[in-house]
Amino acid sequence: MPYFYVDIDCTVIKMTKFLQIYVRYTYEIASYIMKEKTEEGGKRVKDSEITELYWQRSCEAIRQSDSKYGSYCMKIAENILHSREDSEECVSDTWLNAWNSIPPKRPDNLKLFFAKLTRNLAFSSYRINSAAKRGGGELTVVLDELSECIAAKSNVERDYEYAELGQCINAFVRLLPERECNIFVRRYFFTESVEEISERYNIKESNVYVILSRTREKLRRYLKKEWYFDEQ
Amino acid sequence: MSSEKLYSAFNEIDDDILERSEKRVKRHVKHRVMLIAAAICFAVLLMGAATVGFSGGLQDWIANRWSFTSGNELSTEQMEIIESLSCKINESKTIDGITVTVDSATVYDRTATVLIRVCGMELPKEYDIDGIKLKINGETRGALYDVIKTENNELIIVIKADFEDTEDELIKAELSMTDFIFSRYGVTVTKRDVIAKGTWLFEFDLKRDEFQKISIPDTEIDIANENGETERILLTNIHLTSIGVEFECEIDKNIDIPQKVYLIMTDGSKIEYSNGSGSGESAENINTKQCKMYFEFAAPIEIEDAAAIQIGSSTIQII
Repeated sequence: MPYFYVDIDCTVIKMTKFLQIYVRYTYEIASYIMKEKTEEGGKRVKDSEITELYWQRSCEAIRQSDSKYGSYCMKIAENILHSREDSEECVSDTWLNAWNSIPPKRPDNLKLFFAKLTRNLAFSSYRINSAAKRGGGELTVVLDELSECIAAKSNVERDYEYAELGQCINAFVRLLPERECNIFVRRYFFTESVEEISERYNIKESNVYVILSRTREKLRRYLKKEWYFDEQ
Repeated sequence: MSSEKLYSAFNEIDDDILERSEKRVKRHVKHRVMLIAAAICFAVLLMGAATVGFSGGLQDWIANRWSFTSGNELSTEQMEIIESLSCKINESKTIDGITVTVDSATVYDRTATVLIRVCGMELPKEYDIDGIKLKINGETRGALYDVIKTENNELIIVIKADFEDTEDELIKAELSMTDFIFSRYGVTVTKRDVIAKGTWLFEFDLKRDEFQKISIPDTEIDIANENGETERILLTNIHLTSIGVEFECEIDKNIDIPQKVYLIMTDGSKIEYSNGSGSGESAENINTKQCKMYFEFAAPIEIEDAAAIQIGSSTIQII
């Protein structure tokens, strides 16, 4: 019996590896073709067309995704991982995950669908790396900042489901004024540095720090109000 | 709960919020150059007529807001509209070396924006401001909208106020600033520091223009109720002007009007409202409420180029 389980696991691992290699190989060739095409003045396809390619199970979907959003996803991954090599792997895993989820999914916003996949994958990779003491970079600072929003010790801590906490965060950012919301999202979703945020919105770094600090305080109060934690 | 769990939960933020944060704000210096260039071009086109005024104040601020929300520079036509709706007030008062100047104001259909400059005061590193009141036609309506500290330690304060629907061309405004109090936010306590004592009082008139309105026939749209089910509601008195969209509707007490309103232009670009207000009233024992909604754009738009209004998931074509 144990052999049976091992065998199944091995098969699954082999199949996953095969699919990973297949996807990577396909998009490497595709990237090359795309480069040629762009040099000829080829036009990028629309998001809806890329989604349709996934639905048709066409490998062109991976090629177009990488061509259009490869560098965008790479930036998200690099903000978290601070390693070119790890980030490249993470982005190719993004296309693999997208391939596995479309269909049945049909994302309304393909760019942000990829962004969320990349963020999740990069964060998982970060956790593995930090366990092996290879962590660090912007995310370490970001996590440190977020720890201000939660109590050091909890008397009554509700172990909320991930989705419930997600809804709470979503409701919180919707309450924020537009500028604060944007800055907060750039820092804690996209893991951008204060310098990058300052450049993006053309405001001083000191202002970004102040806005982030105040908004974290608001979040701390909001979470407390929603009974995510109880202060001592 | 760990910070890692909290960080992961940020993945649930809605796409529209994430998308909005992608827009970059272009450098102000470049913007000024472009605005001045556009103003000069316009002056040259008019050949001898009065040049388009460029105050570098409120118009510049509106241009910056526009750039922040749309990612684009203002067009010459938009600048022209802002110019026609703006007036220079330039009234100053000095108390104990602190000079407050009401620089300029822009009046829209039912909102006014006033830019104030304060100089002669040392500002703490972190601050928020208290003690400012703007009365419109005798009623306190103003709200602090933006505070900018300039490099030469000048404080730019922008106040926005809404007012009741009026036919009057002249609107009486009264601005008072009492004791500059700065609230400094700490992790657990808020410190309130009195920086300067005194009352800076200003009275001025604001001129309100009539706006060209496009009336859109009553239209049914889909909105989601609290259970996520789609319901159809009828929008009436839909009007589009160069500065915003308004409509009325009668809906169930438990339903909220979608807070996302966009204007779709003929070139396919989308303009999101930047400031919205609405009121809903319902009588006792009646399960519906009468809502009057008004959404304003970050800067005036060219009404002729508007193709459709998107409210939630429904699109209303502008004929």
